[in-house]
Amino acid sequence: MTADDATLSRLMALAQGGDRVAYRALLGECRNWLQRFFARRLPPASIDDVVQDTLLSLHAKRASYDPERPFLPWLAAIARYRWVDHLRQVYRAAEVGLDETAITDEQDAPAIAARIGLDGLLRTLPAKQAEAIRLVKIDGLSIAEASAISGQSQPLVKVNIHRGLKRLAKHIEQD
Amino acid sequence: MPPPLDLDRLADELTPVRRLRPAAGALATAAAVAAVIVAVLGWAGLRADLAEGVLHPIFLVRAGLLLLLGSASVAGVLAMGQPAVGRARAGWRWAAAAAAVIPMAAVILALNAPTPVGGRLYPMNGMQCIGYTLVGGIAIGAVLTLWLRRGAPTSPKRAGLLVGLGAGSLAAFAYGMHCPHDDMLYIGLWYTIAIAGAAAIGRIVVPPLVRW
Repeated sequence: MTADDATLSRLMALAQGGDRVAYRALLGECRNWLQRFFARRLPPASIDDVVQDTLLSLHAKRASYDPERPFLPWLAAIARYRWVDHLRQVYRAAEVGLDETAITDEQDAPAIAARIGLDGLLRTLPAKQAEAIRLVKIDGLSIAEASAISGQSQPLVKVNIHRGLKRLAKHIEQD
Repeated sequence: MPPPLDLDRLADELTPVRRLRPAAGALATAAAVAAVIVAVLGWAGLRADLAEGVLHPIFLVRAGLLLLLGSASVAGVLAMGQPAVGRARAGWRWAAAAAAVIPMAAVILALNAPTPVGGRLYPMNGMQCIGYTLVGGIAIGAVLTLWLRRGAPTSPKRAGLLVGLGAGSLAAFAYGMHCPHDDMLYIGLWYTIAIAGAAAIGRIVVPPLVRW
């Protein structure tokens, strides 16, 4: 059974007052909800880590919840913040070694594909940047292959990936 | 890979918390603005016409716009302390657009001025305006930032910009109690520089302080 928003809100209000039993029940419900939330946005290997980070954030920022307002939009805002944070960490890791090896790392490709899996996000990018990200990060092609298909030079493919990921992170934060 | 999070242990660590209340943040900000007004009046003194109980129309327009921009920006900051997906917080943009009328009017006046504008700028007074606004803005911004650190802003960069914009506008409002100039050209130049400077400081300084 899944708790409704009103129940979660009541549990959180009790938790803010120090009720540990209510808080434990809330944490369990939130963990389940977050696992479903991130399942559509992250590769399976990353979900548990980001769920944990989000639960720790919930714990640290529990004073910021207003029981007069719905609970799930608050939790979703925290979850999305942690998700963007995760995105940035992966992006920074790629930026450090933004070369052929890093960009075509097979393990990295599905992670990034899941990260930016929402087509709507890619549509917010200029066509060349979206194409470079789609070919290399989602389809898993090498820089050389992406260059041949797209007609962009290899340095331009790298630059477009770099700029596109940066713009995506910014867009998600402002969404 | 970190060990799995023990929810029982996390629950055992629970302690009661004092809820973050935007009203408390607004009250603290209002107190800071009042303190800056008192400081401005103590150091620089009240405008001569205000002291005589006369209100100049330009003074009223300037004070109103600054108060509007400051209040809308502070309201945006206070809302950011309690995040929620789907809550719109665009009020400050409309207020900024309204306040932008003054610098735009100043540019038009400068372009159409029959005499050189240099004599209407009073650079020494302008520097004083910038100084008071930045110092007052830092005081007001510090109060806002302290409040926001207890919250959970999900856009730290925008939060920093709004802290600077709000604090700078309210500090400029406070300095306006002393400022003897009612020339749109003067206001459009120096007040814009001062508030933009405060917004830039907020945008640079605040995000690392409120990131979580």
